[in-house]
Amino acid sequence: MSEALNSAWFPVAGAHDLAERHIFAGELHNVELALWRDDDGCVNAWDNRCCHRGARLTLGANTGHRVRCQYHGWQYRSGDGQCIVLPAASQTPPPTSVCAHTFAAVERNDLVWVNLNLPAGHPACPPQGDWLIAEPGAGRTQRALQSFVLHAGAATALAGVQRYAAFDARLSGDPSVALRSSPRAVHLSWNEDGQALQLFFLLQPARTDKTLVHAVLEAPADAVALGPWPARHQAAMKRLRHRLIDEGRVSDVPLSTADDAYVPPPPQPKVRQRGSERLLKARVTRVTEVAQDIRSFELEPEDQGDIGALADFIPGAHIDVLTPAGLLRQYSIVSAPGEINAGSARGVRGVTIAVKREPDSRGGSASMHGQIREGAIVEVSRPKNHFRLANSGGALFLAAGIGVTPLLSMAGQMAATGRLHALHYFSRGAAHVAFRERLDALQDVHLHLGLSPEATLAQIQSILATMDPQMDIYVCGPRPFLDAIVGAAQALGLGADRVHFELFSNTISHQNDKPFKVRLARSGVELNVPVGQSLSDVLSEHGIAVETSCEQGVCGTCMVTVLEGTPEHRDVYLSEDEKRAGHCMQACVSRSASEMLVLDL
Amino acid sequence: MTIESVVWDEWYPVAIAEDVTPCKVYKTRLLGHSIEYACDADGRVTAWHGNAERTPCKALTRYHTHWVSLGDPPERFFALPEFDEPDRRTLGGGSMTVHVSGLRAIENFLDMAHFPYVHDGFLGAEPYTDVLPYDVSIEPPGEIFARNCRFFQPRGASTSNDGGYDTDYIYRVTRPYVALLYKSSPHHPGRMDVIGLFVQPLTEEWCRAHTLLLYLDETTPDSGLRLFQQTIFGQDLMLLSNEIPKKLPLDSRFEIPVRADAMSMAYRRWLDQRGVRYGTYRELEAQAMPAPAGQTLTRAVA
Repeated sequence: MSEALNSAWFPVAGAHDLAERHIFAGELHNVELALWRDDDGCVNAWDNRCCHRGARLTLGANTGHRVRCQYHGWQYRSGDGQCIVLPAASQTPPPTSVCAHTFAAVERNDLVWVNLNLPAGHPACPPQGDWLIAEPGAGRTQRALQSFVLHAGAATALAGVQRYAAFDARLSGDPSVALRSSPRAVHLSWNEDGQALQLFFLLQPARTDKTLVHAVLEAPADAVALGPWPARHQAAMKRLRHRLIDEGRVSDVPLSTADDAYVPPPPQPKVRQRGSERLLKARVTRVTEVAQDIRSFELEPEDQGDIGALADFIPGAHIDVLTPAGLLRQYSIVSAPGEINAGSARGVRGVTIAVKREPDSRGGSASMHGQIREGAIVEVSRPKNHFRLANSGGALFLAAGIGVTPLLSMAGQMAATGRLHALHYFSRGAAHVAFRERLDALQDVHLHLGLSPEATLAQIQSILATMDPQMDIYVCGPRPFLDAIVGAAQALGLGADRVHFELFSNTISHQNDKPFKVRLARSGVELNVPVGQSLSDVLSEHGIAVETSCEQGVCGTCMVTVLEGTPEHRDVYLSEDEKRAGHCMQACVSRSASEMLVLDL
Repeated sequence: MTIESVVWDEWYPVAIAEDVTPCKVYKTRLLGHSIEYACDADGRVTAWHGNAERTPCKALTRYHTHWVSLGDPPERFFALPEFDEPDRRTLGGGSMTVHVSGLRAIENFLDMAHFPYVHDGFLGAEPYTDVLPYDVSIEPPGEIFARNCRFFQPRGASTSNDGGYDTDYIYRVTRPYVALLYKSSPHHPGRMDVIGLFVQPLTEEWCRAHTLLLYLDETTPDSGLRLFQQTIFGQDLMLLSNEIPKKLPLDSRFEIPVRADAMSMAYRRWLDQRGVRYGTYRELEAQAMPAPAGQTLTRAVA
């Protein structure tokens, strides 16, 4: 395929083809597409391939804001295509590399347009030059008619479509019909019953030997013009296609199918980079003083193209907020997925976050309290889901202070699905208790106010000793609170896998981490790998490219050669013998048993 | 195309013994070649190329299955001691043709994470979707094992209908196109039923999967055991024929594994180390994706 063709936008479906909760199978330049519309109306165009085991996404389900792959239930969200649910490991957020391959898509002229060379969210607009079609003029409207398949290449299809007028009873004898043509489109304009009408034909090169003919009718908006047109266009196209088949120009059966040969999508410019994803603009629709020193902020996406970006998350999620002080801060979401903010004028789904003004703030929370007013625009990330509900029989939520935020969202989910739960909320005093209305909507809520550290510990021990054995424990609060609960749970013989808590920065357990040093043999550079940070992250921060894929020690992509020192292997990729030999390690998870590792980098 | 020795000089299943009528000639394909085979009245199998010369191929019957080789296969067959246990039922579970690489069919057989989605209500059910860590090892003579696999199954066998139980599994790969599954028997605590998936690569993108059942079950009729197995495979068929590309990619940046895929990852790596190319997707290796640091895509046999 030529570069010029490939760099352009193409129509791939009529807007009505992307029906609610449906995944439409498309093809463009032999690349298979999964086209779908989310419940907010946003159109997604993805490579039709789950990046896990290659299952076609069109086999899966459109669940409103996500596509669920039918093979392993992986769920990819609308917009950026990020996988946010990975059921085989329901407790850990999927690696950021697990993402649908997205294409830029827009709706225009009642058609869906796609550019394979650009990822979703790319700001470019479809060029219209040689498509012959523009936005409808004032007082006029455009409607897509039925699209037809011609089993032939685009040039043959074009020559055929140029003969369209001869197959329509009224157009065939009409001397006012004017025809324009370009390499990929045909335009007819004429007057009929006193109305200026236009038909645009746009050719989609689905496969080398299969072309889709899209047709768009343009007519005065006040005319009941479309009335006979679906049937009239269908009849003309059928007659035209039969003629082309009779003449031997077009095949009556498919000449090839997608199963014959897999064609990967063309490479795209790298706009998404791990760790520096695009932030979106959000409007602050309401600011509420929910307790002493705690404010809630209702946020909704500002730009139409991001309209569903905050609608979908797993309870327990947080967003990154670029605070007015210039610091990126993580704030948990208190609202439920899909909630429409009370203060929203547009009825857009958003999120509510809570921010506590920290007395020793470096500026983040203070600037949120001091500078953000209703109507302000802030930059935020899409929701991130590091803290999740397990599939256990019930949930015991233990919150201290502002830590109640994600637990309220989770408790709301448990309540909504009728699962067993209880919430214990520790706070300095009644004035510090936030979100009274949300608490009142839950059933089994217990406030513990003004307790000393000793009394808090005793209360925790008492709660855990009498908890329902079906429950898992979810903790959010300051470190001493978390430590007290983990200690109390251990003393009662509760398994560590039943205590869940928020770890903002990483998904792998860092409980047994020790810091270590690495020396890079080729440059002599020495780097420190601190607790809580992986070797691969430290390397990439210093500009040393180690490619990663699964980020879980499974795939072997980030293998580095060890020249000196003893690695502490935490992966499942290397065999026992290879681990003993210690000549290589997986930089995404493995650490060092010795103080220093020398790497062949 | 020249097919590498590790694939060419190998035994491949063409039929489960009970499915073959004596003295009738069957036509099939193997590694892209037309072949024919037949059994005589005593059940002895012979095979030959489907050409004018009827060039003979090697053929034998082992484990209730007829095997053919186009090349010079190894003397030693993989061990299957359960086949000789007198209290086991031995029967075929069906042979199904699928439009996918046989390597993908084997990999699907080694996977638990798809149970709640592809086999909902049979081998798995939401919300019991988590795959607990299991142990993968390479054991003599170079076979892959996944041990300590457990999964909650609502109805793990044709006879279990009691609301589900945790099933123990052991997976074993003996040859690139041969895998075995050992699963806890509902009838004999402490012993395991054995299911063999013997895959015949018709071409790189088409395969025929033959299933052998070695069961500890005195009550269920043959038809019941077969029907269950065919129901399960029928569910897999839909997914397998919708995997793209049809050949198995070995590059873990093209298809991303997670921890639950440790067995699948070991299998892909094992194929790569043995130099298996037939049925694997290599097109991207030559193009955009350079080999990562410290890793070559084809290594010496371990």
